[in-house]
Amino acid sequence: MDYDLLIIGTGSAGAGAAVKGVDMGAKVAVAEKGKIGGT
Amino acid sequence: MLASAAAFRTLKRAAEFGLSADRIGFDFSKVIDRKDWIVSQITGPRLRAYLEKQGIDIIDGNARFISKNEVEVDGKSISFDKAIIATGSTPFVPPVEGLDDVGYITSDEAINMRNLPESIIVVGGSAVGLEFSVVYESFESKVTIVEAAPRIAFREDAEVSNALHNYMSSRGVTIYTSAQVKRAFRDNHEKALIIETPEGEVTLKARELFIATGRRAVTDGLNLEEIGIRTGKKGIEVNKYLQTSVDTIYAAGDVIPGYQLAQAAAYEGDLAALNALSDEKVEVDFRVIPRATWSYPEMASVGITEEEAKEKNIHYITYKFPFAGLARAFADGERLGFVKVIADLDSNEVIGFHIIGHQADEMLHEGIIAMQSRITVAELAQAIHLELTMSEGVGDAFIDLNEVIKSMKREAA
Repeated sequence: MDYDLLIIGTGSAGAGAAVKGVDMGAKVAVAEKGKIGGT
Repeated sequence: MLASAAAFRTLKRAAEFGLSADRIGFDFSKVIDRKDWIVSQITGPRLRAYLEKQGIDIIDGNARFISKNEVEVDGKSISFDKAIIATGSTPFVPPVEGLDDVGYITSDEAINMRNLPESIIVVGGSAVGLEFSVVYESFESKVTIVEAAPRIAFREDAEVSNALHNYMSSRGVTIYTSAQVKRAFRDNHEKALIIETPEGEVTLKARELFIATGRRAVTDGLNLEEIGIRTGKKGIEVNKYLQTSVDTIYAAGDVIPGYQLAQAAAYEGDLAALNALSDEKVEVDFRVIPRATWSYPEMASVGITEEEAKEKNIHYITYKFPFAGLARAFADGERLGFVKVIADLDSNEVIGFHIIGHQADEMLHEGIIAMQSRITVAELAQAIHLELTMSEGVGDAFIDLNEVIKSMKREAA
């Protein structure tokens, strides 16, 4: 596996999930089609 | 933009504060510049750097699911153990005859629009519509709001939304409720909209037309159906653990049904990650989700409305404390509004906390903590509040409500 947790989107939900994933010791990636941060 | 609008409103009232500002004005384009600068300080490269510093890999591009353990991002395959879909939402525009030909804006365009329209019709009287209405109104555009529901801010407590309706109407904003949009057409330099109201058909005309009728989930191009992820009208279907119909994939934020609020999204994202990565799963809990609308005055609430308390047959009591008499409200020149507390008479806990007024958003946190920790009204009434603050009104509301509850219980005994 490339990642334990892959998140699509970096808005409030995605960015929050990514940080939580790292806090839990997971290897995390986020995919974002636009600007980082969403709206 | 709202902060610029508020500053300009205060500037227009300079004389009230003993100040003189004889030549005041604004450059709306510079208001947008300031907004852009603030956004750049919080999202974009700054957030990217922060995420990277946390050790998170950032993959730029369009993701498309190939299987329950694989996505393709612009042609590159990436495998994962668990995934979370957090693709958000985009403005939803209902089909209206003539709308595309006439042209319109949504919040996506409005946040970048540098020319202030001298008149604007805002379709949709919930948070987005109300906040932009306040911006345009403050900069002296003629604003007309068209709402399909029987009242604006229909998710808020009726007393709160009715108060806002009256405040806005008295300032010259035209508001139509229970109004259905029929047709749009062009009339020389203006955009015209025919609406059906309880009093009959009305034709509205303005320089710009703003559609703020909610948002829809963004799932285009994700290939959800093919890998078996079920979606409904309001977005991706999830269970109480925020897990989709495919067990390795979770979803959070505006892309799932429920609250479309940044704070709800952040909570859901956090919970989805927790549940995706641990064996013991935690159920999503929406009991205490705070909400705010930066109208003028602001509205903020947590818990249930009085209408919901009635519907659920809860044994409740409400208490309303107006801000008009507070020293701080006089000093700041912001005396409108009230705090309304709804308490459960069986548990003596706060179950709804609603504020309309100056700094409603900041004052809400007391209600959030009270609800989260299930603090009783009797305990809240004992907390000494700062005088010369707006929150003094919240403290007074708790004290008065506690006295009312005590005398009710004495009478019942």
